[in-house]
Amino acid sequence: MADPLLPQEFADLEALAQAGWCLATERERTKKRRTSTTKELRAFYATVRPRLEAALDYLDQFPVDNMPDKEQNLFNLLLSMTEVAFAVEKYKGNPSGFQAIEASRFVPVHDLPSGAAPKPTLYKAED
Amino acid sequence: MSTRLDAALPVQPTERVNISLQKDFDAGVHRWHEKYPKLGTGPVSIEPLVSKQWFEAEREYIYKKCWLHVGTVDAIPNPGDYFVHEIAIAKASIVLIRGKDNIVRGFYNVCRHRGNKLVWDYQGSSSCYLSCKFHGWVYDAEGTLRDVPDGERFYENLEGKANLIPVHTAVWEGFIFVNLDPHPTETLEKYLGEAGQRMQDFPFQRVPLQFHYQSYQRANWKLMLDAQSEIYHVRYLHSYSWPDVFTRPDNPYGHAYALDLYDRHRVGNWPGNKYFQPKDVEGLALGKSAAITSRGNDFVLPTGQGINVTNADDWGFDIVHIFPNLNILILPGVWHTHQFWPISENEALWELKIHMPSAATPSERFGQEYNKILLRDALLEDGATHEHTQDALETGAIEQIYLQDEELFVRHSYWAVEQEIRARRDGVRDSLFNED
Repeated sequence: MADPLLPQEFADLEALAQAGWCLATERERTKKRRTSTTKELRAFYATVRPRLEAALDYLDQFPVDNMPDKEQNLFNLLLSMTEVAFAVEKYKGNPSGFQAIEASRFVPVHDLPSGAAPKPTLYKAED
Repeated sequence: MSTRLDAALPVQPTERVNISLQKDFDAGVHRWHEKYPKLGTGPVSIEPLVSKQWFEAEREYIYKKCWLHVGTVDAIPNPGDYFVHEIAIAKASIVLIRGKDNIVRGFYNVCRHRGNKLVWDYQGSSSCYLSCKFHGWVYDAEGTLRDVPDGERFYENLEGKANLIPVHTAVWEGFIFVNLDPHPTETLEKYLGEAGQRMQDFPFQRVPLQFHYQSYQRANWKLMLDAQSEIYHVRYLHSYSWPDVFTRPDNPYGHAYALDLYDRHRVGNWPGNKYFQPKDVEGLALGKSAAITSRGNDFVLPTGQGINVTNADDWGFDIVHIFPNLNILILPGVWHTHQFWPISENEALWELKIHMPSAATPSERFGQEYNKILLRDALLEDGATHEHTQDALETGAIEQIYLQDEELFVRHSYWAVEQEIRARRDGVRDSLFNED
């Protein structure tokens, strides 16, 4: 078993953390949602939903911009829930919207390395 | 640290300006035509969306002549901070830098030595000096050439002489604008006119820039603007992402409360859905932070006089359009800007900047993230129509489009673009408020 990524209190979410859902940027979280199956999205939702309030209350003991590593991992896992909730609650489990362009084409400049020059025409459809 | 909205912000209802109080959604099916008869009722030509010649006219008579919004002052809070804005239609790269005197100045991003692009990154901080990567020429934040390495080998002293070429730059309520005309015909304040005045007491600067998106779209810039100018489409296009954020049983098509036109600009006021029933995680998240749906909580911003001009208690949002390509969306807890930057007659860059209060806690930050995705996913749906519409128009199958009364802003957009070209090219400026 790999070293735990999450605080002990949230060991029940550890399998999702190990499956790569602790992602620091919107760009990564959106890609994870888009490349997951409906079954995986529903499983994530079903596991995280009952723990969501408790996890947010727990994290609120820590400063938003300076969390310890495991708490930051837990927070990044919850941020993935904002993506997954759309797929599960609104898109019938479909990873993307039904009548939309790919999310990768809407480039979150806030996630690019600081000072990187956005070259929007280079981001036509790729990550 | 947090700049959380201190709760002490109740706004006293005050007398409001230039208002059309139309709280009855169904008060006259042609109510806006009756208010603005000059715009007519006929179909509108698609020529401005597909024509290369039209695009060239927009380049010469709009984008090289009008004041253009390029960013907000909170993006460069400290002396020496800078950002670069590319204006593709004018083939211009502009660097905006805050000086030691706190004045924001704009310059063409071109070194005077051999014309190299001076700043290559998109934003950064400096010690109020910018140096060229090619041969190390150094300029200060006032644009003055301060150091030329091996300078005595030139045939004259260029320091203080070969300075950066300035661009007319002005700031209104924290919004930075530039004007590429060497001799602008109006000050920014006069250009913004009454629409600018209406923005004056909204607390834009208390809600900092948090998120920034760009998207390249194969569509005319005005198609993108159109999509952000009416609510008629929300019930259909956004039936999955936001089925009922703004539409509601007693106003299923999102009819407006007030649509106020000026010759170039426009300001609209729409109701929200006070019966909105969020999904499970959605409701939890939207309650944690300032949101597009904030209502009756600490996150609601005071609107001042010119925004939510009908003082609606079920206010949804306002759109402030500043000609030619800026839409400011102001909602109860957040505000954001859309810009539509033309690249060619069928390509454009879509830029979204979201302003929200800084999150004080992780759960507030979680709410913000949900709110951001809510907005983004709906915009991905708008993006689909931009390109499908452009493709369809370019088939040549139709020559005109039909607009209904609640699509007044779309009709006004085409009128305003055409008037600006006529005014600059032919010297004849018509007004919405003149009798024919």
